[in-house]
Amino acid sequence: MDTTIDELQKAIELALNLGAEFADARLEKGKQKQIGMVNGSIRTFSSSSRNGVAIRVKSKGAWGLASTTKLDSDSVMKTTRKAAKLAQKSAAYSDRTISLPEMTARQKALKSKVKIRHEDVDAEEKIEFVRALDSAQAEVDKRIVSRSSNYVEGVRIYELVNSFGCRLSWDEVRTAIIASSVAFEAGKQEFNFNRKYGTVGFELVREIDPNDFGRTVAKDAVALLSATKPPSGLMPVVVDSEIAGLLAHEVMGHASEADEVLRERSFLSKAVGKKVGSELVTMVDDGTIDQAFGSIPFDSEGTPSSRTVIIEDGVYKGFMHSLETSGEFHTKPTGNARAQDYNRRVFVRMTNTFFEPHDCTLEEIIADTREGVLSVQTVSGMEDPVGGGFQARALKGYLIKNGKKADLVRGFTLTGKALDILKTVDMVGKDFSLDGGFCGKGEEDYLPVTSGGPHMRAEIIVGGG
Amino acid sequence: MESLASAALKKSESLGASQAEAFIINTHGRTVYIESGRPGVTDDKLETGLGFKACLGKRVGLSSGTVDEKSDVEKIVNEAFTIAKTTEEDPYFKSLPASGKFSGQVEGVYSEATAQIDLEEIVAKSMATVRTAEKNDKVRVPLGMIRLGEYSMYVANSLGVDFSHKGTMAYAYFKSKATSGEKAGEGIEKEWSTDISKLDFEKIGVSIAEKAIATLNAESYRATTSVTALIAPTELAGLLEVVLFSTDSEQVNKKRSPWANQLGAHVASEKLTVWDDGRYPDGIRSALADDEGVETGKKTIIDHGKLLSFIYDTYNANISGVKATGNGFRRGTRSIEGAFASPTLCSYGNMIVKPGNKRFDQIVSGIPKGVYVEAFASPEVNEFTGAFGCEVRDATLIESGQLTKNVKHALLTGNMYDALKNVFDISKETKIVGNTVLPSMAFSNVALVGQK
Repeated sequence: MDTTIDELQKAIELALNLGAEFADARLEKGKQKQIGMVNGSIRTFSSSSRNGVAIRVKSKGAWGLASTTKLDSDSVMKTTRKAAKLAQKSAAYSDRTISLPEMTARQKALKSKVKIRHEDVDAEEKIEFVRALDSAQAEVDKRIVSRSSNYVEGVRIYELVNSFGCRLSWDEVRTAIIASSVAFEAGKQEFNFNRKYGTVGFELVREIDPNDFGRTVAKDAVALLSATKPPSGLMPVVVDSEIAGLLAHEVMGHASEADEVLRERSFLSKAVGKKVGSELVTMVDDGTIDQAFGSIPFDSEGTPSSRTVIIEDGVYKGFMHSLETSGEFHTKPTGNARAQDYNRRVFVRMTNTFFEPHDCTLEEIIADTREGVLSVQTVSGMEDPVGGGFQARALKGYLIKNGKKADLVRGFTLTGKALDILKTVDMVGKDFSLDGGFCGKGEEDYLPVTSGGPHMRAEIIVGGG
Repeated sequence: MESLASAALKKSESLGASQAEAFIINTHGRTVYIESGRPGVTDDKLETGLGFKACLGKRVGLSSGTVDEKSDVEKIVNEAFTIAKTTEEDPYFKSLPASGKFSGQVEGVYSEATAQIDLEEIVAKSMATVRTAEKNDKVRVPLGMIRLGEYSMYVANSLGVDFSHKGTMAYAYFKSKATSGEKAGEGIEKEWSTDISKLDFEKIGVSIAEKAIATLNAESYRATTSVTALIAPTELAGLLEVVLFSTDSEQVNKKRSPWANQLGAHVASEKLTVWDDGRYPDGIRSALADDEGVETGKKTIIDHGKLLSFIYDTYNANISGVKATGNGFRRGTRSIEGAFASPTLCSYGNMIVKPGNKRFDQIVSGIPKGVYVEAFASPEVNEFTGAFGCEVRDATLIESGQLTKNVKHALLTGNMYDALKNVFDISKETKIVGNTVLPSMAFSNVALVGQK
C-alpha cells in the first residue's frame, strides 16, 4: 500500500493534535543496483529496494522518531502516535527547550537533471563496462593476482511534509564505479584502487574510458611493489586534493557541525572571528555543486542546501546548521540536517567540503620544496572534533628531493594538530578536485559526501608504511 | 515469515529457477541518544525485509527489499529472476546449501528483558551513565546512546534449508569530555551484549570519566622509539582485522589474502590461538545456523601460531572443495536493520582470541619500555600489506613495569603481520567487542613516533 503526500500531511495533523510543537513526516523510496566482477567473473549482480516512513515529533526539549516499512495509512498513523509518545516521555527527562526558527512553507516538486537514467541503459552495457574495467587490469602484468571492478547505481525518492507547511518532493540519483588491483611478487603484496562517484546518471560511466581507468589502477599497483618505505617525522608535505579534503572534512568540518559545538565537543566552538590558518586557507561546505556526490536539493528537514563559508582567508567564519542548531544560534539553517535513511536520526552533517584553490601549479609547489613528501590518494581518515587531531592514511606518495618528485613510497599516515597544520600552509595550488565517498559520524550513519581541494603544502607528521 | 518465504520460493519455482533462497527478517530497534547529558532523540523502528537469491544454473540474481504487502515479495522474486536471466554465468557457483538438522538453542541469544524493557527504563539507564560520569565536576557527557534490537529471522531454500532464529542485541556507546582551562580530554566506552541487564551503566560512567581525565592530562609525545605496545580489546579489534581478512575464504579465493598459501604454516607467535564459535553463549551473532541456514560450530583457526583453517560460507566452500563452516552472514553487530539488503558475506560468527595466563597488571609489570593504548583515532591496518600507522588518542607510557604518564599526539606504527609474530603477552581478562571476544594483547618492537 503506497503512502501519499496527503497521508503524510494527515500524520502531521495527528501529531499536532497529540500535542507536538513541531512534526515532520518523510517518505523514502530507495532502489540500488550493483554489479561486481572479481577476476573475470561476475560475483554479484544485485538489486535492493528499501521503502519507509519516518515521523519526527518535537516536544519541549526532546525529539521522538518512529519509522516503519509498513506504508498503509493505519501503520503511518500508529507510527505517528509512537513518535509523539517517545517525544513526550523523553522530554520529561530534559530540562532544556528546543526553539526552532520559523521555516518558509515551501511547496516544491523537484526532479533531478539526469542526462541518462539508469533504467534507460541495458544491463548488458553495464556488465560490459565492468568487464572492460576488469580486462584492462588483467592485461597489464602477470603480477596482478587479483582484480575487482564494481558499478553501483542508486536512486532515492523523498516526500516530506512538516508542520511549518512544507510539502516537498525530490529525488537524488547517484552512480559510482570502483576498481582495485592487488599485485604480488616474491612474497610482497600491494593494493591500489581508484573510484569515481557522482550525483548523476549513467553519463558518469559513458564519460570514463574503462580501459584507461582499469590499466592505470593495475599499473600503479605493480609500481607499488618497488616503492620504498616512506620517511617519518615532521616534514613539508605536499598534500593532494584527497588528503586536503580529509583535513577539511574530518577535523575542521566535523568540528564545524553546530551540534558538536552545542554539546561543547568542538575545539572550534570559540573560534569565530579568529585566525585559524594561514591567509591562503579558505574552506567551504557546499551542497549545491552540480553533480558532486554530496550534493542534495534539500536536506532531510526540507531546508534547501547552500554554500557555507567556514574559513575565509585564514579566519574562522562559522558553523553548519540544522533547524535545531540554527534556533540555538539564532541564525539560518544551512541545509546540513541529514539522515542516512528512514531508520536513522536527522542531525548536522556535511555535503561537499573543501579548501578553495589559489594560484600555484603543482610543479611550482614541488620545485619550491627542498625535501619532503607528496601524498597521493587516501585510504581513510578519522574525525576528532574535540581535540582537533588529524589522522589520515595516504595510499601512496613520492619523496621530494631538491625540488623534484623522486622515489615512489608506500602508503603512510599523516597526523598532527589541524590548527598547527593549517597555520603552516604556505603554498596552495590552482588545481581542484572533489572526491566522493561515505561519511560516518560516531562510526555510523553513513552518508554520501565529497571532500577535496587543491594541492597544498604544509608541515605535517608522517609515519607508518 | 514462513508463509512469505514459502510464497517466494513457490513463485521462483514457477518462473523456472533451478535453486532459490529466501531470507526474511523482522526487526524492532530502539535507541536513546544522549545529547549534552540529556535524552535528545529517542527512536523506535519497525522493519520487515526479504533478501532473495534466484539461480538459473550458474547464473545468480540477488534481490532484496522491504516488505509491506504480499505483492512486494512477488516484485522482489521477479527482480531476482530478471537479474538471473540477464547476468553471466558464474563459473565458481555450484549450489546453495543443502538442508541440515538443528536442535536445541544457543544460550543467551534472546533476552526477554531486552525485548520488553520500557522506554523509561532505557532512558533511566542512559542517565545513570551520565550522572555517574558527571559526579566529577570536570566531566560532561556530550553524547551517548543505548541501542536495542530484537529480531526474528527465517531462511529457507529450495534444497530444504528451513531455519528460524530470534535474537536480541544491546549496544551502548558513550563519550565524555573533561575540561580544565584550555585543555580538553575525551573518554569513550563501547559495550555489546545480547542482554541489556548484563550491561553495567554506572561502570560505563566511571570508565568514561576516568578516561576523559586521563587524556585531559596527557602530554604530546616527543620522542621516536621502539616500544612494546599493549593494546586494549576495543582497539585490538581493529588491528586484528588482518586476521579476519586473511582467514576469510572469499579473500583467499580472490587471491587477496596474504595467508592464501599458508595453511599449516606459523603465521603468528605460539602465544596466539584464535577460533571461531558461532554458538558462543551470549554472542551477538550466535545461532545454531548462519544466515544461509548452515550449521555453525566451533573451529580453531590459528593454533599456537599455526594457521589451521579458513572460514567458509557456502559459495567459497564450494570453490575450495570443502564443507561450509557456517560463516555466511548478513546480520551486522551494531544494529540489526537492513540485514536483508546485505549480501551474504563470509564472516566470523564470533572470533575468540584465547586469553593468556596473566592479569593485565602482571603483563604491565613485565614490560620495561612500552605504551598502553586505550584509544586510537581509528585502529586501521592495510590488510593487504599489514602496514599500520594509528594516531594515539588515549595512551599511557610504561616505564620499568609501571604505567606512568599519559601521552597523545603520537603515531604507533608497524606491520601487523610482523606484530602477530612478536606477541609479547596476552591478558586473561577479555571483553566482547561486537562479534569478537578479545583480551588485551602486547606486541614487541613497534614504533611510537612523536612530534619532534
